[in-house]
Amino acid sequence: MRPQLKVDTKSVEITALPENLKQLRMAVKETLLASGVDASVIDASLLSVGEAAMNIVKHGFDGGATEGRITLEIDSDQDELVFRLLDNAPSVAGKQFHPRELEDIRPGGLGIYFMRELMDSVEFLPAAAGQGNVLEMRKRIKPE
Amino acid sequence: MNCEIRESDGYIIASLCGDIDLASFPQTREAILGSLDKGDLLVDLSAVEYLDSSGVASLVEGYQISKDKARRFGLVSVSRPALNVIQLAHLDKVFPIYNDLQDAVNSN
Repeated sequence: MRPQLKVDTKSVEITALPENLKQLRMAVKETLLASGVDASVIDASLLSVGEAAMNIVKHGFDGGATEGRITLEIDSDQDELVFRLLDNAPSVAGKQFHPRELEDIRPGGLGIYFMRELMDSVEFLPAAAGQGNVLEMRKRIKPE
Repeated sequence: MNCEIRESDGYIIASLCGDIDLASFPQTREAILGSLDKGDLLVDLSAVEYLDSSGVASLVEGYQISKDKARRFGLVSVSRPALNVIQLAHLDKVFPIYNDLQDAVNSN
């Protein structure tokens, strides 16, 4: 029988400003340290959540907005860690996001590549009431 | 993020520390590009605890400008969290990376 991943569900909300991004990363770190997952999983989750939240601040709120809200929900589903980022930025429904080619050595465009490389799934979910955005990332935890 | 900039052995040494993210992006970029105006640059990443794609972007921009200006550019004493991200971006095969300042000086 596979051991169940045990994570204390957590929800953290920040104002969408660059200086607040660390609060989300700290929530990820504290929650996953308490769950006992590997350091490599913690690092991957920190970077993925950090990149996703940064993209919301940069692109959803044009670098930051005091009326912008980002909520991070940390949860587990059987053997997967689940991270959901909810925001009240203009909807990105229907837009396509492509990571850049690694051979193209230039600043920027790596965030989506990092998220897709480190997580098992990255997808936008329908937002409640059709407003804002919900990004869900899942990371499968391999049994020992 | 605090950044210390000093000169040693013919290099400008820019030591970044803490979290290199969107919040510290202006200071990080200024530290790297401003240093390249003055001379050859080594970026010390020994005290970096978190590096994201905005920090990587500053390093890539510095690397490219160093080529344009014919300056030497390298990373020294790269912390594990920073190295993980640089390797993930496959940039460990692009940036000159040295164990320490002496290693960089000896490579000339």
